[in-house]
This record gives sequence, C-alpha cells and structure tokens, in this order.
Amino acid sequence: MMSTTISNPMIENYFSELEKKMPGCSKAEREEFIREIRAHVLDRLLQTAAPTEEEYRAVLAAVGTPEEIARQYRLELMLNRAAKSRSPLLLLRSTLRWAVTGVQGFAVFLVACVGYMLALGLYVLAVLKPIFPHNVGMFVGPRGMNIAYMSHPRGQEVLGPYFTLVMMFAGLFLMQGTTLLLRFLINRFGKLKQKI
Amino acid sequence: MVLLRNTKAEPDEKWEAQLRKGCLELAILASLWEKRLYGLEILRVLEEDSKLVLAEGTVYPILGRLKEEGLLQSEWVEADAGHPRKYYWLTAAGRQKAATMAQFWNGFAANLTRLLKPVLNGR
Repeated sequence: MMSTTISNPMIENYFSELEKKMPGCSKAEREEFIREIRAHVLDRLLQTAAPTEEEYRAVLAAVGTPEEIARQYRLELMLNRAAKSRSPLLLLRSTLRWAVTGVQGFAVFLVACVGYMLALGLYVLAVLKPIFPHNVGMFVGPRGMNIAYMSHPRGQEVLGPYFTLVMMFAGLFLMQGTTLLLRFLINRFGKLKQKI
Repeated sequence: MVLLRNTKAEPDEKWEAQLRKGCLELAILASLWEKRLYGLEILRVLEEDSKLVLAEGTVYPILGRLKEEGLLQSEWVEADAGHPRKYYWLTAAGRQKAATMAQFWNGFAANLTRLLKPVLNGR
C-alpha cells in the first residue's frame, strides 16, 4: 500500500513549483487544489508497483507543467470570481495577475488603476472640503475648470456647499463604472486568453 | 495522452483544440450523469467515451469552477488506496445544465452533419 506522501524529490519539486506559481489565492484554496492534484498523481503512481524515475516523469508530464495548471486555475477560477465580483480589491488583484501575462491584461490593469485612483481622488476631495472650505472645490476661471485642492484658489468656486455631495456621487459613479467596465473586459477578453 | 500546447500549433490543430475545449464542460457534466466520480475517473470516462484529450491537471480547475457555479458538489472520501479522493457529483442545477447543453448539442450536431454530407461524400 502506498503512503499519502511521496518521497520522490522530482514529485516534491513539482509541487513546490506549483505552489510558487499560485500567488494571490488564499492559503486554503491553494492547499485544497494541490491536495487534489497530489491525490491524482498518487493514483497514477499506484498503477505501477515500483515506479521508476522515468515513470515519475511520465506521470508528471501527463498532468501538465506547473505553469500550465496554475494558468488554467488562474483563468478558470480567479478571473471567473472577479468577473462576478463587485469588490474593487478583488478586481484589482485579478487584473494585476492578468497584467503579467501580456499586453492585453496590462491594458485592463491600467484601466482599473486609473478608474479607481480617480474615484479615490474624488472621495478624498469630498472629505477635504469641510476642512478646507476655501481651498477645495470646483473652480471655474478663465483658464478652464479645476476640481482640486488649491492653496491659492483662482476662479470662482461654483458648487459651494454641494461640493461634497456631488463629489461623493461622482466618485461612486466612477467606481461603479470602472467595476462594470472591468467585469465586461474580463468576460469579453479574459476568457479568450485561455490556452488549452 | 497528448499534451496540447496550441501556441505554435497549425491552424487546424488550433481549431481542433478549441473545439475540444468547447465541448469539455459538457463532457465533464455528462460523465457525472450516472454516478459520483473523482478526478481521475472522470478523465478515464472522457478518454474512453469521447476521445477528449487534455492535459490531465487542467481538468481540476474546470471542476473547481463548475463547483463555484453551483453545478457540482464535492466531498473528500477516504479510500483503500491510502489517501482520500475528492468525489464530484451533479447538483440539481448541474443536471439541468447538462440536459440543456446536451439538447442544444444534439440539434447543432444534426444540422452540421447534414451540412457536411456533400463535403464528406463529394471527394
């Protein structure tokens, strides 16, 4: 009878590689997944009484490289989760992981960053307005419009006491808009990236 | 067992790989129609019944996703082999989905077969 651990260095090396290739998912998720692949490898090895190095190699080759499996995991589970999520943090994390796989992912990650940063900026201004009522606002002057903190304000502040409320709504709108756009992009392009 | 890496594959191979991949979800759901199975058993059914070829390990993330979508349920079961195995079975939603997909596939395949008849006969 086979024990639940395999003392073969090639196998152990394989699993430590796989673990390294799965950053970002929780420890529990990673362990569960690796446990399942390990059970699979054990089952395959059970088919031979005393596996040789060659057979170890063949079993691992049939399972797929750690990169291949980790990529599949990322695409099936993490992008899938993100595509349904409304959490900016999860979306940012997933797109960041997607970003390292190529130009397309990187472009989506940039969209995520710009969208959420702008939204955050609007929130910050909304909070700062009651503290610096004269320096924060929507200033309209001859040279255009500024939504900003200005130490020497130029132009006319047009929103006055409504600034905080308007910026809160604008921030929320931008945040939701970015989230929906990201979910669309992941659904539309993320799945296409899946390799066999 | 052939490992498919379609990055450098010929267009035809790429098309075949895409087709297999597209059918894989249905094949996995169908393999669980009769009874609960663990990953390696599912792979065996796929190999024997439908000649679907895939890198074995890639089936597990798909199983994980199907579970997250509520189509499958799973449980670790102790086995004589000395290590536990993770068994999967169809939920009610999974059965429904498999039936719908099978229905669609049936009509789709029948139409395409009819369309392909002259191509296959026409040498």
